[in-house]
Amino acid sequence: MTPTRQMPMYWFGRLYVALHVGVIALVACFGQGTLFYKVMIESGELGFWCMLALAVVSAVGVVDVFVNDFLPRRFNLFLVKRHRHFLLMALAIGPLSMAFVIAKRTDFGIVYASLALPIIGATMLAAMDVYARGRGK
Amino acid sequence: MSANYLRIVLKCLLVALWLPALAIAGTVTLDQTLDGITLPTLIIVFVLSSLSGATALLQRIDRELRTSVTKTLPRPTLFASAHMLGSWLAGCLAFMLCENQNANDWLELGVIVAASFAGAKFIESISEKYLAHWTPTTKGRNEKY
Repeated sequence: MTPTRQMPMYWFGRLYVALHVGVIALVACFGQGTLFYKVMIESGELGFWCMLALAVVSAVGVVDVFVNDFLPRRFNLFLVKRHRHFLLMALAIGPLSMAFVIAKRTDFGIVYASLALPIIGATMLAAMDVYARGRGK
Repeated sequence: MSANYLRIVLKCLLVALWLPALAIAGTVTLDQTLDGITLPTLIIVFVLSSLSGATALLQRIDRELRTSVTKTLPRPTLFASAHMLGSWLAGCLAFMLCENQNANDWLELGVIVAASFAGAKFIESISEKYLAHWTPTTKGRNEKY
């Protein structure tokens, strides 16, 4: 698939962050035997719904990349594009919420390293997005 | 009842409401609240409230850049520090409150995120109201910058 309109260079970053966070959420919901799943089961039913909501947010992120960056201009998710910084910040806060629950219940400090990349990436992308849109790019 | 009189009565009620809140706060100690909290948890709460405050900050920056003619932010340091201080303070208070009440982890998380965002927005509204000369304003009023 080739891009049909001039894309900002950070589309790949957005896609990567959305997929990474989506995988974290799905592993936490359905990956039996994993640390994420165990911690989420221990922390109560509310965790399952939070992670499911995070999976939906990451799906919106993936759809945003394909519709707003790859499809022709007549296909446009205007609302998502307009409030993309909220979407990206939600993608940053999602893995951090998992890290928070892990920190409260276990001592597996090394797990934070695997969660750091999407958190930092999504925050930087949100800032870049706001500045790019503010300057009319 | 005139409007002035009503305003005075409401102010007195607000002051009176502080007294029971202070009495409850007086029974709680910091050691008791933070007992069993690890350093990684504290760091994550700090980052969490920073990200939540940054969300409010980005929303404001987005609004400012859209309305600004020059496409620049006046006094960005003051602008950012006010938001972040508000979010850190509110996030810290929310964390302590939830720890004291032994709230569910996910509920605690939601309260911290919401409180940090609300703290940043509160500081934003206060600065718009009282520090309009030093901080950028919204709704098209910043065209003069």
